[in-house]
Amino acid sequence: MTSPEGRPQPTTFDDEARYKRLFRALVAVGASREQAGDALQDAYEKALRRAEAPDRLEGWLFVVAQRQWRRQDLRQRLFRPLSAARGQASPPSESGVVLAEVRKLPARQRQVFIARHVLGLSNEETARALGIADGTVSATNHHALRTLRTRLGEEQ
Amino acid sequence: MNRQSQADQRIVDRLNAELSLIAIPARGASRTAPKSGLRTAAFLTAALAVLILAIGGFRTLREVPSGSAASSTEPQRTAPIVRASAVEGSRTGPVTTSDLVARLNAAGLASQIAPPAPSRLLLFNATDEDLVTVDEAAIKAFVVYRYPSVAAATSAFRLDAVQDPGRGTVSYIAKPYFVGTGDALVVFATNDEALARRVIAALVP
Repeated sequence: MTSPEGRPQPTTFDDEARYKRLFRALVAVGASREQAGDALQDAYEKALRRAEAPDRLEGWLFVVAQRQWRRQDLRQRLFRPLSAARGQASPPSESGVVLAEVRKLPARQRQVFIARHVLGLSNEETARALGIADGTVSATNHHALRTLRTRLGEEQ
Repeated sequence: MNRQSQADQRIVDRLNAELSLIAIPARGASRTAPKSGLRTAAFLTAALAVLILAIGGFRTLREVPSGSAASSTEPQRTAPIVRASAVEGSRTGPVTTSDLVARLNAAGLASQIAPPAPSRLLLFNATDEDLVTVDEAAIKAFVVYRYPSVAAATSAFRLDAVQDPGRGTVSYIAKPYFVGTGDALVVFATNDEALARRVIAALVP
């Protein structure tokens, strides 16, 4: 990474504010606190192993951590004892009216909405991170907000 | 801002307020223990591995290179690698340890090159190392790893070794900071974050 003057800029992976945003974003997507912590640790490890710091680190970490969480979640479901599987479908321990509604959104809408409004990524950054077009980000975000307005009684 | 935008903003604000109430565990905390089902799966996998070894199906599951102090332990999934902090500075040309010490002294961090240790422990593919004494009790270790070229130092900074599972892990007594500059890799350990920032600012001006 270089500055406009061409001088190398330090790359730090140890940004607490970024870590907190990513952690909350993962919880908002549907991960438990433990899963979010584990998935983020894996994502940071992967970032450190890369030859160069990923471009747009925050979006990259978000996507990689989500992938890690999904794999971990799938494994836990596969190996969950039958008795636990009969019980309930691992309800998230975090509560909140808006959070609950966000988690009910379709996966793509959830990803886009959280990337835009929890991580604070721009349309373009979200599009790059998720590998979709800018226009798709705008439309998906619009749909997510419309659904949330309706479900949360914010539709005037 | 129209009414719809205000409603959207309220939703976003409420969501972020709810998320802000979630307690975030300390970074690098131990990973979650596997669930009982996973433990069972792990046990079955281990039993299968023992069986394979017993019948001689595989010669070794993993070859750990000998002769390296760093290889004495296998990498642990719980290793809090994310606790380390990596900062890459200028790579325009070689830099001597004396230069680095001079930068520290100029920043008010009294330092000097320490006498060489009786036995060297060259990590990260370094060809030489210099120990530096910094007159700050909070700094638990300060090593400058030397490389034959800027390219070699850059390669080492990228932590390629982490990708080799046979190399093992290194445990630091305090939070390690990796600073790449010139043809050197500086590694120091401290739990004093403010002090770490001062050191990094001195090394990477």
